[in-house]
Parts: sequence; C-alpha cells; structure tokens
Amino acid sequence: MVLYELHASGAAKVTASCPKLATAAAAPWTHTTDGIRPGMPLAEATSLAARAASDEAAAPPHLELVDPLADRLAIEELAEWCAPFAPTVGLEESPAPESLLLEVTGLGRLCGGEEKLARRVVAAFAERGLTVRAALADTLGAAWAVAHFAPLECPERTSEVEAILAGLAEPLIVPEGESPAALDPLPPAGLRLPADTCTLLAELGLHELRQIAALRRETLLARFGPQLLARLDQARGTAPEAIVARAAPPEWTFEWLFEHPTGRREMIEWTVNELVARTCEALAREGRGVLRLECRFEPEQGAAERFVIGLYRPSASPRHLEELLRLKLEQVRFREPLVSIRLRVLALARLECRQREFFAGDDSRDAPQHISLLVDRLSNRLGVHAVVRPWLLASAQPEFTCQYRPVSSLKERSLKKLGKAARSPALPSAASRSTLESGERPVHLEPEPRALAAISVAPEGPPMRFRHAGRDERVVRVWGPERIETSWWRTRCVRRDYYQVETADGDRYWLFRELNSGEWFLHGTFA
Amino acid sequence: MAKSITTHRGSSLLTSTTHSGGIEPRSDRAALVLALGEQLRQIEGARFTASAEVISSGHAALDRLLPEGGFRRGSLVEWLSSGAGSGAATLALAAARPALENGQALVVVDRRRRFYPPAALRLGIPLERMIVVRPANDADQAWALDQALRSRGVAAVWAAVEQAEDSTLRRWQLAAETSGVLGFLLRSKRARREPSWAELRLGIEPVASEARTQARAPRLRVQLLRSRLGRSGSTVELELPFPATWPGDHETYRQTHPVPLDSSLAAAKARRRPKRA
Repeated sequence: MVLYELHASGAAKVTASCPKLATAAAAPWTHTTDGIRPGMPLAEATSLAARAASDEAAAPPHLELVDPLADRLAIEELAEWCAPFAPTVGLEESPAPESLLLEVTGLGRLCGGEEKLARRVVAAFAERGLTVRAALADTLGAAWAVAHFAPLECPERTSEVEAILAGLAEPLIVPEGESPAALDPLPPAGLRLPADTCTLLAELGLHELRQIAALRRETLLARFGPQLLARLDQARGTAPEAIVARAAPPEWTFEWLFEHPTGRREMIEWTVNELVARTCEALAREGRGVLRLECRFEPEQGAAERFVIGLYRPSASPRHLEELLRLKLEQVRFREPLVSIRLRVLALARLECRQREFFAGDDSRDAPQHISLLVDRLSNRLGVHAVVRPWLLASAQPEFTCQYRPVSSLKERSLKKLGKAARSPALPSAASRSTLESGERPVHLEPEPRALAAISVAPEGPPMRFRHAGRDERVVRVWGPERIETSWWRTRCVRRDYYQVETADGDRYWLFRELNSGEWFLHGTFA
Repeated sequence: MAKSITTHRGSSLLTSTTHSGGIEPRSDRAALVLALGEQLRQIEGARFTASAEVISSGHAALDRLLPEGGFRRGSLVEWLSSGAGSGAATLALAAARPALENGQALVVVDRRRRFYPPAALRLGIPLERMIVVRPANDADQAWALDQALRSRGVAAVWAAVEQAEDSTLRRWQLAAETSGVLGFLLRSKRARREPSWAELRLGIEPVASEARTQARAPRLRVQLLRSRLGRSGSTVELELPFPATWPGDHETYRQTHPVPLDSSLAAAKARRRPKRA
C-alpha cells in the first residue's frame, strides 16, 4: 500500500508506504537499502513497487490518494472513544496529529497499577484492530519521546512481523522520577522539534539527548532559539505542560432526561429545539458559535443513535442549527422509546460579528454568509463529498485535469473568495492556463471512457461511423486529432488521438482512439 | 379573477385575449399583447417585482430573441434540446456567466456526475466561484435545487433535470422568485408538451454545419417556445462559443506573458520556495 498526494503542479509525491514495501522494493541499482520513502515521486515509487511485485510474484501495490480530512476525523473519533480511560484526552499539537494523549495521573491505583492500565488501553485498541505503541511517563514530553523513539524489544518469534507486533504490544512504563534518565539515550527528534532543527543538531554531532542536556543553557538558547529549551524542560519535567483536552469542556453539553421514555416524534423534535435554544443562549453569551455539534439519542435498550452536524462557519443561531438538525433527524428512525437526548458541542469558535448596514440592500456583500449557510445545509444532508469545488491540475489527461474537493473542508478564506466580487482577479494559475490553451473541452465528460464500435477508413484516420446509445451515427465533420500522450509517471501509459466529431443531426461528441490498441472510445459530449 | 388566471396555462389564455382585441389596428396589436402579457405576469407572480435586474445573456443575437433583452434575475429558464451533443448545456452555461458579475456563486447541480469544469473555465467562469452539487438520487436533486435557488448568495443555478413534477417546478420557481436567483434548467425536448412554470422556455437545436466549410464553432438554432410575456415562436441562429473573456482579458495576458515551453515545468519552478522553519 502506498499513499500519495497530488500537488497543484500535477506532481504526485509519496506520503507514506507500508514498511514491507520500504525494504522489499529496494532497487538493486541503488546502494542504499531503503526502497519507497516519503517525498519520492510517485513514478519512481510505482516502478520500484512493480519490480518488487514481479520479483515476488505478488500483486502490484495499492495506490491511494491521501485524505488529510479523513485522517483528522478518524483520530478525533479515536480520541472520543478513549474517553473511558482518562478524564482528559487530547491530540498532539500538530497540523496532522498522530498521537493521542491521555492524562492518567492518579488513575494507576484504580486499575491496580499503571502497567495494568496501559495494558488495558493497548488491549482495547487491539480489539479494534489497531496496533498502538503506548508509553507512560511523568511528563507528556517524555512519554511522547519514549513512544516514538525507544528501541523495540522484540521477543523471539517465528516471523519478523509477529515479533514487531509483540514488541509493540508491550507498553513502555517509565517509573516515577526517572524521566530524565529514560530520555538520555533517545535522539533529539524525540523533543518534538521541527525537522530543520533536528538536522542542525545532527550536523553538530548531537545524536542523543544526554549530549544536549549537558550543554550550557545559554549556548542552546543563542543557537537554537527558545523552542529547544522549552521542549527539553517540558520533557524533563522542569517546565509544566498540560494536555489540551480535545473535547469541548463539559459545560457545553446539554442533556434532557425524559421522566417517561418517549418515542413521539413531536416530543423529540421539541426537545431538540429546546436544547438547541439553550446551547445557543449559553454560547452567544460568550460570543462563540458552534462548529460541530453532536446529537445523541439514548434509547431504553440497544445502541444509541448519534449524528454530528458540521458547520462551515461558527453559528449561534438557533434557527440555523435547528434546521440542520432537522435535516438529519428526518433520516433517523427510532425503534425504541428514548430515555435521554444529549447535545454536545464538539468544536466551537469565536463568532464573527458584523455591523448591520443602515442602508441595507447590497446583497452581494452578504453573499459569503449566504453561501456558507447553503453549503452547511447541502453538505449536512447530501454528505460532504456531494458538495464540491473543482480544482485544476496541470495534467494533460482529461480525466485527471480536474479534481473535486469538498467545499466544507476548504479554508474559510477560500469561501470568502467564492463570494467576493472578482474585480481584481488573480492571474490564471499554470493549471488553468494549460486548460485554456488546450483544445476545446466538452461540458459533459464520461466518468470512464466508453468503448464504442467505430469505423474509420484510413488506419490512423478519423472515424466515419460509430454506434452510440443504440443508434448508428454518421460522422459528417471531424476536427482533430488532438494527440494526448502523457503519463509514464502514472500507473498506466496513455496515448490517445482525440477527435471532435459532428453527426448528421448536428450533435457533437468527443471520441478518441487508443493508439496502443486501436480501439475507439467516447469520452465526452458537447452538450 | 386572479385565481382563475393563475390556474390556466398561459398560451390558451393569451390566444383568447388577442382574439377579443382583434378589431384593433394591426400595429397596435403587438403592443396590446405585450401590455396584456405584462399585466398577466404581474397577476401571476405577485411577489415577482418588475424591478428585478435584467441581465444580458452575453450574446447579442440571443438578447434580441428574449422579450426583455436578457434574463431577469429570479426567473427560471428551461432549455429544451433533442440530442445529447446539441450544445444547449454549453449555451446555458455561457449565458449564466454575465449573472456572476456581482460576486455571487454559480451552483451546478450534477446528478449524473458528468459535468466537466474545464469547459466552464473556457467559457470564462472562474472555478473558485463555482459550487458543484452531486446528489445521489432524484429526491435529493430536487431538494438541493430548491435550496440553491433559495439562497441569496447564489447568482445562478445550472442543472440538467430529466424528470420533474409540476409541483416541484412550481416550488423551484417560487424559490427563485424570493431570492432573485437565475435558474437554468436543461431538459429534454420531450418536456415540451408538459406545462411549465418557467418564465422562459427555449428550444435549442444544432444546425448541421455541412454547408459551411471552415467555421469550427457550432451553430445553434434557438427558438423562443414560451414566454410569460407572450411573445413566442421567434427563432434565432447563433454561434457558439461565446468569446471567452478571461477575467482580466486572457488575450492581453497571453501577449504580455511569454508562454512557457511546458506549463507544468513552470509550475514546478514556481513552487520551489524555501521551506518555512
């Protein structure tokens, strides 16, 4: 499995790959032992992987585009799921967090020892099918460093993979007061430092934390800035660091308990609206608005029904929230009478205050707000991936020229742009320029090129007749060919001759001949 | 009185009124029809204010065909075409572009997932102002269209609608009226016999370009099938595509900026910035 990301320039880069490929695909012509590694162009990676696959007669690797939003949502869900283990659960501070932080001070006694607690957490993750590396220490920094960089103690097992898994399952416990000692042999990267600081440290020959700790603080400050010192102190326990709870504080939870369980729709809707009103009132007092709101319906028996609504911009308007909740509520069926309904604010942000204009009437100024309301409604009912914005890539192959991104995952800035008058337009990007300079493009493009039976007179010539939608079409005029040849860096080489054809009825289609096989395909319609 | 008119279909009503005014001189007849049409429109759409802005379609020939010289904000326009590759969708998309001038968004409802944005970019529609909605079924499509037509942040909605019930169409029309959104619905020619709530109904047919030799641009015959203002039946032939004006004039841009050998190389170079610490 290889994960890759696409850049706006059309270059595809590997982000991550499974460890097996990293070693198995080591190219014989390089002297290094590492194969596929992050940052490598996808082309190189696929050729390496293909070679490895042919050597071992295995299937070619699975390629997948990175989805940072999905990653983020998945780890947030895990954090929420960890709530039974610790009162405070947080994520590491990073744009793409990979570690969960649990505050377990004083909990060891309740579980019969800290080690038992750690084992329980690891076992619970294993039950979910996840292998985690757990470390427990006095400070957040030390636990992070140990979890990431302590050497694996692998017991003897039949296979290497099994041994690694067994090693991972062993939680690492740093006894009280021994954090500095545990940190000493670890590399400086364990201090959660930016990559260039780590490189600099390595260049200076500082490979272990004990070397850094032995240096004078003034020199460290002068050379590396305050961050290194702060991280060092936090890890060694001389400076405080608290886990930032991911979940909103409990005061943003509003619950309604029914004295008599009810399954009546009107009652449920009324209660939800009442809870929304309370939430909005409490939030508006602080000048904050909801970004994500969880709604949980607890029945007498069975599993609770739950859904989350997401908003594009923070809102504390009961009407807007009620509407979004109602859209979701319509799709839920309650089989059992409900005991309680709970609203919980999962994410909030400061409300944007706007002064009302005395002479209202210019609608275009309100456009971004109206658009965000529309996007909220559409994405909550139809799903995030059904409300998208096109994004161009500088790729010659028509089906890869355009990519869609969910509007609700865009930054707010770009939404403002969406509504802003284009009075001073930005210069066209390279991708859009290449689109403008290429040949004509149809308004409708088939998701997959459709194979056609077509007749051409000359072997390399344009089509004369083709069969489409159960009809024989006679081609009257032809424009082309436009040769599109791309992609040795994609998985498959593509060579096509595109023709714009006009049939006897005057309809225009976009056909191509696959040059490798000589077959004809319909790719688009000038609808 | 008003009620009886609204429940009638426009065309039959109009023929009867013109007939009763048959004693008028011929030159006055057209003016009378227009005046009665205006009266009818005011009765039919009580909330539909005549003050709503009329936007040029961006094409002089098409503007001449339209009774008001353009599309009025807050109206629904049906584009009926026979074939798949008639060019009706392209024409409608191009005609939506002038509506975007005041900074609102274009919503494309793409039920079949076949919309190809680069074609829109070539017509001069900036992609960052476009929201593509891809509903999974007809019910979701109807709902999404209704929501988009109701939003004041939207300038125009462009959607291919295969099946729509009378009541759904009526709801869309009311939604568009309240918000001032221009709704362009692409429909099959078969819908011609169905009643319509749309302000305008245009029929589009491709003109086979056999006779002409060099011209590459497709020619279309646009017929005004129905208009609430009454004047219908006239036809115009026009050529696609509209002159694509890149915001900030693409031609000037091309002349003043040398085109790199390969645009992806240029992009790669532009992206090579020093990494931030």
